[in-house]
Amino acid sequence: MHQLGQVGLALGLLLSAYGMCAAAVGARTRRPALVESARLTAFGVLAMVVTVNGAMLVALLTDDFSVRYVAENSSSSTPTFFKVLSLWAADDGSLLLWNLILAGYVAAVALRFRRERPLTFPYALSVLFAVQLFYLVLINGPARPFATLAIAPLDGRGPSPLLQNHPLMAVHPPFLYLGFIGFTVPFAFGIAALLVGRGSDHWAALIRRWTLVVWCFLTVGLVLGALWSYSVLGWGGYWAWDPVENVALLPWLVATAFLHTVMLQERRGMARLWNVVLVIGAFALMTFGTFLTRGSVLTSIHTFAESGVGPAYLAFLALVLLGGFGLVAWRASGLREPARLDSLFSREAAIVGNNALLLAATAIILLGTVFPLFVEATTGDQVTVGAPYFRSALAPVFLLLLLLVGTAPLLPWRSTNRQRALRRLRYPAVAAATVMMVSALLGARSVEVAAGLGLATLVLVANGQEILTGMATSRGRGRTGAWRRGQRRYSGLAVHVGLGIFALGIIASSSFAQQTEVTLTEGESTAFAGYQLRYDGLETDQQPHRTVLTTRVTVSSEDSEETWSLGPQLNLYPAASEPIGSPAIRRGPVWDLYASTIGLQDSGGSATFRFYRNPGVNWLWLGGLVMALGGAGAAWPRRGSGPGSRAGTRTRTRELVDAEVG
Amino acid sequence: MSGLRPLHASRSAVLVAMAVLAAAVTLAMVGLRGPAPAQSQEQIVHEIAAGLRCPVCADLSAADSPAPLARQMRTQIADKLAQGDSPEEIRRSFIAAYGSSVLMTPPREGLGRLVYAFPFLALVVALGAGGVLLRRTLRRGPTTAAESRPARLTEADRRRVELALDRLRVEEP
Amino acid sequence: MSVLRGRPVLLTGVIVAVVAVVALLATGLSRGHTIEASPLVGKAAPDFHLQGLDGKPESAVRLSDLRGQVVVVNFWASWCAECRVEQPDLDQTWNRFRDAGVVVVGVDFQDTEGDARAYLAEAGSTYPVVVDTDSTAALAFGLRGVPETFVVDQRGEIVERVIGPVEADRLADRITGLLEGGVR
Repeated sequence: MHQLGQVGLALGLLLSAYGMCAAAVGARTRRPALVESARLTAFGVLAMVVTVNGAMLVALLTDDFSVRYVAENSSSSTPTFFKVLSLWAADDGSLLLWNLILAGYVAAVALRFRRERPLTFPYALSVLFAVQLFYLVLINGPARPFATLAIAPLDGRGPSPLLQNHPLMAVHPPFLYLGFIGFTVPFAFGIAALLVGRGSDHWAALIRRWTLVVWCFLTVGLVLGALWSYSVLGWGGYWAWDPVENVALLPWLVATAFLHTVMLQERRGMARLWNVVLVIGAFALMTFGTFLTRGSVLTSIHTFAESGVGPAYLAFLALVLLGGFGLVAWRASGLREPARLDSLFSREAAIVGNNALLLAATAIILLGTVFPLFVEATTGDQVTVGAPYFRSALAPVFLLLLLLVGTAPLLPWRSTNRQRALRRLRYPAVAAATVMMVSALLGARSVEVAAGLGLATLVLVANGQEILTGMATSRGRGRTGAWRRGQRRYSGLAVHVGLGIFALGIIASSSFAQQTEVTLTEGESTAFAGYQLRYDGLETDQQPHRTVLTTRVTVSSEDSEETWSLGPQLNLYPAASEPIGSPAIRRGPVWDLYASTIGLQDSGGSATFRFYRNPGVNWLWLGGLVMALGGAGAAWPRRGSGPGSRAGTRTRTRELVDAEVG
Repeated sequence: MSGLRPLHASRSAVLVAMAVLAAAVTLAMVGLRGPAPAQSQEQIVHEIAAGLRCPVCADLSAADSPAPLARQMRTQIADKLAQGDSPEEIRRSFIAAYGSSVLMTPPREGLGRLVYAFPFLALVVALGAGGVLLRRTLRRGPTTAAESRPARLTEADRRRVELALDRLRVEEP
Repeated sequence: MSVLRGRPVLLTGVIVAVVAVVALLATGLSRGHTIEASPLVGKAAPDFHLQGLDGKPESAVRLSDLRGQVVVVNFWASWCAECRVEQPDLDQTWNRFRDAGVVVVGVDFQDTEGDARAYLAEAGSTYPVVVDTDSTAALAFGLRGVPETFVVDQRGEIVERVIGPVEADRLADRITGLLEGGVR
């Protein structure tokens, strides 16, 4: 298998190199046949990378421990499900998945442009191949998943215990990768637009939908990461502001900014240069994130074991930054368009505010994350910039952002009739003020919390109201008809509604959670937040790959007869020095009761627990889902006939292409 | 219907203004009341531990981490409090053993001040740049307002749209 | 005109910024996983009084009782793989210097006593080993993991902290220096 893998990787590398050159030369010399050959090469690369991933999968499933990667990340007792997951559980293997997804995106671009040929296409194709080439070089050179061991061990080490402890590991990394890698496509078209150089608006229209899809993947990936942290790590929280989480959030923020300013370009022909800057920025931040995560710069649970790929990532990052922003600087004057604004109270002005706030948040997170590096490089001291810093530094930015999300959708494009805007604002404003007052009366002691709850309500009511009144306007055509007619707008508003739910969840769970830590002997009870919690002893379950110790806790509520049982676990893996906990969570619409075992004494005669009562955590998952669905709705091609149809879009694109060529 | 409009609209303005005022007063009062003082020993321990980094985990504070060493830190904090040590003394004892990187946030001295100034700086620069941009683009406005304003929409069309919209508002429950 | 003037300025700006960012990140890369030098080096070692692993009262160790002697304090655990790597070096140091009044003290960190005893029996170590039940010593010494080793001089000051496995030769150099009253 490993020969197949290595040959496949080498062939993929050669094909990518060919594709990159052929597309570039074809574009410069205007030879369509060359470009077409490059386009077809994309499918060849995909085939190679699929083969290679298949080879690794076979090696994992057949316990081929002569392959170092398999020996280090799987074992014969690992359940089949987690053997498959081992494919991306460590650095070298995850690069295989990375290449697979990238090749998938390149092939998707190749398929999408099988007939249309915008001027930017060959350049974009060349950039895509260049990025693929880098990742294939990495996997052929410094990281070598198919390296073999001289003597195959009898059994492998098994995957990292933390990563084989929960099935969410099956979906969190792939979604995150789909999100991260997807930024390559807008980046490629942005670079292509700069290379082509003629002030062309159509590239933004071409990649808006791509970026939306990518944004949805990243949203889902981030939310799944939070869900994993909450369900697995046993600390009662879901987001630790650790550097790796931070760098994953950065491209999301910039992409969100882009998805708003791209409307300025589509509708008003404004912000052309700015949009290129944003897509290059998103890709550069994604590259920066991979460098930080995989380049052994930081240590965290996400950091992969040391590998020699750090300098390669750094070189690539330097190339992306220099090439991308250098090109921007070179072309700046050509793309700069005189923008015109009719009113401060307009959607356009609000979008400028949106970008200012999102980029301020990006800058704060980025600087906070690299600040320890900066301090150590200048003074040699070590400092921590942790969660409390980010919470207080970002609170004002996010509150202002909520204020904007709750008011801006009420503003029309161009200019506003103020009376009308005020009329649309009255219910949301009253609702927001009411929530603020109620939360203050109920004992909210921090301005951020009271303001946050009120502003999240503003977001919910304002955007919900816009959807409802909008749908009502086209009454008589049926609800689906109404939705379809304003699909893009409603979807965007739905994303805002999701954000409102999400924000409520964050504020509630981070401000009103209760927790306690107790040691209970068998049969002993404790009272916590209206519950009686009794420790009923330890159950041991010997599984092939681990020993599961379940501490049985019986919960009775003080205001109902109901009792139920929670079984937080400690899992002993042969490879782990310490037991890995699995919390037990009783999830509810508002309150979660969360139990986590953090110590056992006298062979289970007594156990130390942490209990949490967390409000609003499930709103996070719901809000994330609504945001992703809204994003998907905005990206979904409109059906039916007329100018909004798929065919219509295609003709329109072709017109744009023709106009550009002509 | 058109006779109703000014009244209707101004009522909205009053409502919105009242809501904004109520929100501002509420927030000011919440701010003046200040945060609740930590009551129980457990809360004080949690507060101190939340500011200290768990030394064996990469990212979590000693309050959050389920690691045994973090638990022992919490126990030690509780013991020291019981002995009459002040929170500041307890923090200092951990700094003595681990260095200042044991604090979850950089100390506000020397280079550390930079990182606290930065959020304000970022916000001011970003909003300032946005503001300058808006002013510049707005100032260009008047010269082109004539062509960019109603242009495609005739006055009759506009009135029809407004009427339709108004009917909708009235029909709202 | 403005195009010709603006372009090099912008380009230079981009290049300077990128070089600065990359240089900063490169320092992070070269740093690797170094851990802060302990703020305790050069300071008095925190005292501890811990029970022996065998439970006998005479095997308890109070660090301040060893004033006047060079002490090697080694934090370890039976579950720690790197501790097995350094075990022969520690035994060698103990056997070589015990007659010169040097004490090696093993401090068992977050372990079960059964595992720890089995580990020591297998290794055949003879130097005193104590149990850090509540990790008080570990927290006082600023421990970030095992193994970690502290060399304490005759005056009770920490002169060196070794993160990861110790090497007998380097340890011997340090101890010889201290015994000769020379290099600190």
